[in-house]
This record gives sequence, C-alpha cells and structure tokens, in this order.
Amino acid sequence: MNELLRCEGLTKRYGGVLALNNLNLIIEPGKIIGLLGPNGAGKTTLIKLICGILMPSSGRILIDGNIPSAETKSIVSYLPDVNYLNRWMTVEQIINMFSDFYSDFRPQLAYSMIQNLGINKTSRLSVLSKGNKEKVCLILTMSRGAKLYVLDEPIAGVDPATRDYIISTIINNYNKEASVLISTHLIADIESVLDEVIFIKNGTVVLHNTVDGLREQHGMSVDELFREVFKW
Amino acid sequence: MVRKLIKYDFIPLLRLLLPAYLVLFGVALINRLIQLFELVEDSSDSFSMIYEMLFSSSIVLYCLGIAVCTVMTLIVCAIRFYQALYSNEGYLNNTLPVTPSQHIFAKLLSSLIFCAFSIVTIFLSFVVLTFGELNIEIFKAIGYLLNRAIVADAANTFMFIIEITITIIFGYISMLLLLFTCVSIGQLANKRKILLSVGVFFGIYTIGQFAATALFIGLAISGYAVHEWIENNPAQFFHCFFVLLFTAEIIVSFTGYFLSKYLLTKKLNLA
Repeated sequence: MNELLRCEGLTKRYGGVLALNNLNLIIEPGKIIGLLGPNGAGKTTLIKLICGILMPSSGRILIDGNIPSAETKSIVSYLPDVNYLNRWMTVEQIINMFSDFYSDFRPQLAYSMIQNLGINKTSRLSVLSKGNKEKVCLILTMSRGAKLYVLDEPIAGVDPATRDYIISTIINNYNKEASVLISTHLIADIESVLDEVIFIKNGTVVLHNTVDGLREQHGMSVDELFREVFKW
Repeated sequence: MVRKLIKYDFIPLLRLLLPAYLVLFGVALINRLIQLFELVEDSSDSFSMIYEMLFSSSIVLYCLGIAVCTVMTLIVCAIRFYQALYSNEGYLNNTLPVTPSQHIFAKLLSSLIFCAFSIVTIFLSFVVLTFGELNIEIFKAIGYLLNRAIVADAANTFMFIIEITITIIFGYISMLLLLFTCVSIGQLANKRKILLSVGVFFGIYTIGQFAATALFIGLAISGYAVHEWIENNPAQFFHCFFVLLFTAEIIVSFTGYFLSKYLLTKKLNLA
C-alpha cells in the first residue's frame, strides 16, 4: 500500500492533559480527506505534529517514510488557523520568500490568483483586509506542488462567498498526486469535495472511511453522521 | 538556506534599528553645529548660559544615544528572534524546510551584522561630533599611543589587540545566544512569555555578576601570589585574564546554542 502519512501509537500530552491518545492513521496519496471532530478533539495537535512544530510524547509519525524534519517540511504545505504573515512585507515579497524557500512553489500561479482577486502585488500585507489576508495565505499554500496539503480550519469565520472561493481554490490548484487534509467543523460546505473522512474524538480516531462507503453503510450524509457520533 | 534566512531577517531589523542609528548621527551633528557657536570671551552672561545649557544637553543626549544604540540593538535582535520563531510568524518560519540550527545561526549572524553596524555608527557619529581639528588631534593621540606600545613591546601589543577583538566578538555572540536562550525559555509559558524571558535573563545575568565578583574578590584576597604575578609579569597576567574571559564566553555561547536548539526542536510552544 502506498503510504503518504503514517501515525503509529501517536500520543501527545500537554502537562497532565492528553491531547492525542495512541492515535493510529494511514493516509494514501491522491485523496481529499476531512479531519473532523469537536473542539478539543485533537485535530490541531495532530496537524502540528504532522507539520513538525510539535514533538510527540510517544509513538511516531512518518511522512513519505520520514519522521518530521526539514526534509518533510519541503513536501508538506501547511495553512495554519492563524494569520502568520509578516506585517511589513508586501504581497510580492512574501511570494518571493516562498519561491526562495520552496522548490515546489509556483509563483506564476500565485500571481495569477492574486491578480484575480484584484489585490495589488505591491500592497503591504498590513493594509489588506482580514479576508484578503486569509486568501493570500491560502494562495501561498495552494501554489505549492506539495505531496501533502494540511489545512487547519480554512473556512472557519468567513462569509459563504469567501467559503466557496476557498473551496474552489483548493480543488482547482492542489497537486493531483498529493493528498489534502482539511480540518473543519463546517462539514456540509466541504462534504461534496471529500474522498475520505476521519472522525477524531478525545485524541483517537473513531472512524476513518471513504465518504461513499459511509453514506452506503449508514444511509446518511457525513454531516448527519457527524451530528450522530458527536451528539451530547 | 542560512543566507536566505538572513536575507529575510535583515529588512525587519533594518526597519527597527535604522531610525535609532540616524538619531545618534543627528544628535552628533547637532552637537557639532552647537560647537560652531563656541563662546568668545566677551559673550554676554545670558548667551553664555544658553550656550552651556544647549551644549551640555546635547552631550548628555549623545551619551544616552550611544547607550541606547548599543542596548537597543541587542534588545531588538532578541525581539526579532521571539517574533520570527515564537509568535504567529513562527507558524511560517518553523515550517520552512530549514533546521533549528540554521534558524539560530541565521538569527545570530544577522544580529552580529547589526551589532557591527551599531559599533560603526557610534564610531562614525564620534567622527562627526569631533569633526575638524579636534578629530585630527584625537586620532593623532591614538596613533601615538599605539606606536609607543608597539615600540615598547610589539608582540604583547598585537596579542592584546587580538585578544580584545576576540573577546568583544565572542562577548556579543555569548550575549546574543544568552538572549535567544532566555526568549526560548520564556516561550514555554502559556501566558506572559516576554515577562518570563526578561525574568530569566536578569536571573542568569545576576548569577553571572555574582560569580564574576566572587572570582575577583577571591583573586584580591588570594594573598601575595597574585599581587606578585601582576607586578612581575603584568602582560602574562592580562593574557591569562583574557583567556579566562574568552573561555567563559565560549561556555556561555555553547550552552546557549544547545539549549536554544533543544527548546526550538523539542519544546516549541506556538500559541
């Protein structure tokens, strides 16, 4: 089996709090996967571990056969749920920065998407609206020809039109041989584009299946199943 | 990769520090202009008072400017280290395909470049301040003293110049790595990260000062041997002093580097 991501007995503790508990997971290439779970389920912790900005307390994580390192960071394209842009930079400078550091970055694609949004490339990032900053972050992430895209809450807190823009940007621009891992609560908005879903609860994977398989097995949409699994 | 990291560190550091360097130049220039209106013997009392007040104010400002320029460079370098790696910017910088060592080296090198800039700025501002005959006299005096030292004992003079230069360079390296370590320890806290960093820095600095004071008191009360050593062979004593200082700086630098690297690799705590 061709594995892009493998988590084995992955555990992460923050002091006395268990964020991930013996999590096991395998992701294959060429899939769009929804990472779904309630607040505090461990989604962001798992994403941070994949991106190499957290170390597991125990267990291991392999990305394309390697533990998280500078090497894996060159094949993982990450969109965090915070605005990480340097305020003093212009749009052009941040694109140049991505071109400098990532050999898989496609600057022409980034410029064309920036132009389509009507954003001036000489604009400082500090003067862009919150929505445009989020779009620039997404464009930077999706302009990479990465093997794994990891998007943490990309459609949270944006209006429906922007949500559609974000989803279409993801679908139209990702490397087709890669996988896209999308963490979100807004399942109904992305259900139609997902190939697989992972339900995560109390730091453990409680369900991992294809969307079609789930619909067939449970006779309901992923959104309905989510409400069923995670109901209080 | 280190070169690329330095490139993207350089601009924010320049944006933050250039105004401070320009202000120092400005104060030196104002002081030099005030000197052009130097008092003549028959100046009135009120003019004399105003002149003295302006002159002494600008000299005080200049001295403050030098202190601010030196300290601010170090503080800004520490702030940039925090911002780039432990604030929201850390989500970008820590997911770049570079190792924590490369991050630390890049930050260290770009900070050292700006420390060198601050020294050059202070020197050039001094040239501006003393521009004219005074300038020539000062450099003549320095040249004369250096020449006398070389004639008296060339080997030791050159050794001292090398030792002082190395001590200053490693002094900056150890201070920057100590600051990076304190910032890295501070980010472990979930709240008030900067406050913890400052607290850790002053804690370590105070311990260092106590250790140095204890060492010097120990030397002073060690009896006749040290006094005899200084009297009979002062050059050898001071060479040993610089070697000791240099060794302490190397130890602080290595400890700071490995601790920062460990915290950046294993204990990154992005909010």
